[in-house]
Amino acid sequence: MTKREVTFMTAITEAMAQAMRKDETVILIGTDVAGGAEVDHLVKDDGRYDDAFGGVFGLSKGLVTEFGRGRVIDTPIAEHGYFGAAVGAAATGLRPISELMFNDFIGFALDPILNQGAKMRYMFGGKAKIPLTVRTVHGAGAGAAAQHSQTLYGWFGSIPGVKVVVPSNPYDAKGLMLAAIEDDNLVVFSEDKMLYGMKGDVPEEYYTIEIGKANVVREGTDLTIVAIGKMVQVAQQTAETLQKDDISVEVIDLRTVAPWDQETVLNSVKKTGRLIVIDESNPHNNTATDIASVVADKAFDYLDGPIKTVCAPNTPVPFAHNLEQAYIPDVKKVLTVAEELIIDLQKKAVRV
Amino acid sequence: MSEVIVMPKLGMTMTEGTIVEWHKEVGEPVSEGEPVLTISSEKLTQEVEAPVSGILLVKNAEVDEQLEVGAAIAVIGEEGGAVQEVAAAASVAVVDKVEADTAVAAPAPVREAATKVQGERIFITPLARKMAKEHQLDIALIEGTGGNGRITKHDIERALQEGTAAKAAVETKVEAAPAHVSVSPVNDETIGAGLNPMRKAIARNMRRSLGQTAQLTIHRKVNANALIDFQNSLKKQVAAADLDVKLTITVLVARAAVLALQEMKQVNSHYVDGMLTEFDEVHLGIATALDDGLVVPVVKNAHQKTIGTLAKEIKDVSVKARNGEASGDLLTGSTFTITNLGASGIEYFTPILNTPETGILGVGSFQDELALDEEGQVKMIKKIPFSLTFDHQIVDGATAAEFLNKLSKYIETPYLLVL
Repeated sequence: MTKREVTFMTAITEAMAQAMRKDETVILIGTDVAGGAEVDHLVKDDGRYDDAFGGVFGLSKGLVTEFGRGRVIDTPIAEHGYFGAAVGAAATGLRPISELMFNDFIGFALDPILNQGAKMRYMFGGKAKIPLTVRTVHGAGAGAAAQHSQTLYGWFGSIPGVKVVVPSNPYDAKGLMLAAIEDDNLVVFSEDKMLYGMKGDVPEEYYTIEIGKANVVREGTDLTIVAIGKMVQVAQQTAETLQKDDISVEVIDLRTVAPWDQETVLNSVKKTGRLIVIDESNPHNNTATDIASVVADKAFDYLDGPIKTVCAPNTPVPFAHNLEQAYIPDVKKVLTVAEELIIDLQKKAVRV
Repeated sequence: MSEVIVMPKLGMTMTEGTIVEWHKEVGEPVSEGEPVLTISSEKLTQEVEAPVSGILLVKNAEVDEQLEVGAAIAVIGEEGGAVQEVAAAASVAVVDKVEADTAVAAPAPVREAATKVQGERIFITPLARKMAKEHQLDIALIEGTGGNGRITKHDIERALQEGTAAKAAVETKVEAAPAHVSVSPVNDETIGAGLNPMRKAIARNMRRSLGQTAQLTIHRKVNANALIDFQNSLKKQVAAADLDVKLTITVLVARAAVLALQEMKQVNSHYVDGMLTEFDEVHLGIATALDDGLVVPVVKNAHQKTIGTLAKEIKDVSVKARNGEASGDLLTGSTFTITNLGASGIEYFTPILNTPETGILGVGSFQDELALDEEGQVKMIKKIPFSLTFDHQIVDGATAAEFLNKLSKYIETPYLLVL
């Protein structure tokens, strides 16, 4: 495979383009995904329309040029309507990617996802399939304030029949996006907007990453840290800091939030006896609490300390830069909770 | 409404009690405060009073039967009342942490079953608990170095390596399972079997003490001439003032020990279930021989008492103990114990710790010795022998010797005792 460095955002764009080339039933639908209506100044000499920005972040830029307005469909700001259309299209033979610009707008798009997309296969006795990919954006750190910065993948993850993937790097973003599109079920693909500029090696070729499998990105023996999306970086930095103190940390990139990979997490905890879960969601009823509960149940006799979660506080995301930074879980917060877990290892003191 | 009478907890270490006598028969009316039965435990016999007036509906045990603390003994209620409730209550063994002073005949609430908690709770991770069980380790002997003082896998591994955590839990009751026989040197179930309740209690306490601590005794003789002079002179003055104070050597030694303990809190401490507590206050246990056993009544807050008050209280508690009148409260809570075999002509001995205390002072009888005075003349002096047993887990020999030094200072310069 040829490797080159591209950004997280480009990896997703490339995945969508490759999927659309490979399978003509794949379409993209959403507010502003083409980038403007069919306005005159976008008409090119050959009569085709150029795309403007390509989505609020420019992520789908270029797609309308290649695939045309029939497959890259701009909608009004009417999520309930076009998500309904996307579910219907999925049920009747297309393989749509439907974009929810910010996951904070979930309220408007929820019914087609919760009551239609997630239920049809079950209610129709398996005779319908809903190969719908919902792309959306989460995460604090961009100064986008309380209504555009939340982390809500856990909400989708609590719906039976919905899969949720949260990539942490460009390579995973492409492979998971292609897997999501290929999947015959409703998959929510949640992107952390703070990762869009992240660069990494991404093969040009088409490849998929298995949904439902976590990735052990660092092996260790003393402490397991499970992290989601952007938080994988925090976990890795924590692991490096603790390594200086001879504490061996295993870092698991969860990759899929629902259904999350119990086998990998449980095996790791059985090895290390200690678990920290980092999740930028608000602290209650989230993915971290779910993982903590399952591990407490299924690995109880292997635990050598309390299970710790490091999450955002139970507040809206603040707008002020300093407060927003304080809101996001970071290395310092993880080290603080780690100290209680590793104090008995009697190695060097934890550097906080 | 019916009230359940449960086996009261008369002392910190009481785990079960024996029915000695029923004063009431089923169907007989009782009034509140009236004795319903007598129980005996470890060190004492106690009447259990009716918490309410009513009819004795159920007797849950016969004479000589033993019941766990908190188990339902009897039910008092209205005639024909709530038999189901009664049956349910009677079948539930409850361990209620009722404080000794309120426990007597208190109708402790019947809670849903219970774990047997002895003293402080030990924090241990699930993994460490499983490992301790597999290796039959006594977790009470393992120091927890994890967060919140938790015992972790690391601590278990260290205990296994060092072999310190005495195989086979002392406190853990080994349930049936012959294939899994414990090699425990101390099995609570069998210790003292066949003995009367007091001897059984003594047997258990002594075995537990020796099984759980690292006891070492050091000895020292101290010139007691000044102390004897002081005692005589004080006695005269007390007599002249017509005060009712009996100034025994035990009292003066007790006072000296209290002062020394306040300077050496390491020796005035409890070590139980992995927790060491050093006390500011001194509750002094006074070992008291009975015809058929031994009890240790306690003088509470001995550090706040003058020689006179101490004398009075030591006498009071000893008399009560000898007459079997000591309530549970009087027999628990000591932080340090003194045992005096001076009257029996004993010189040195090796007292056994009154756990969870970490020190016990043995006092022997005066020894005549020849010594040279300042002018080089031979003279006879009296020396008082001390035997200090301490828990070497907590206290080292140097510290113990230091304690005896301080004690000696007060014995040799007894006027300090009035400070």
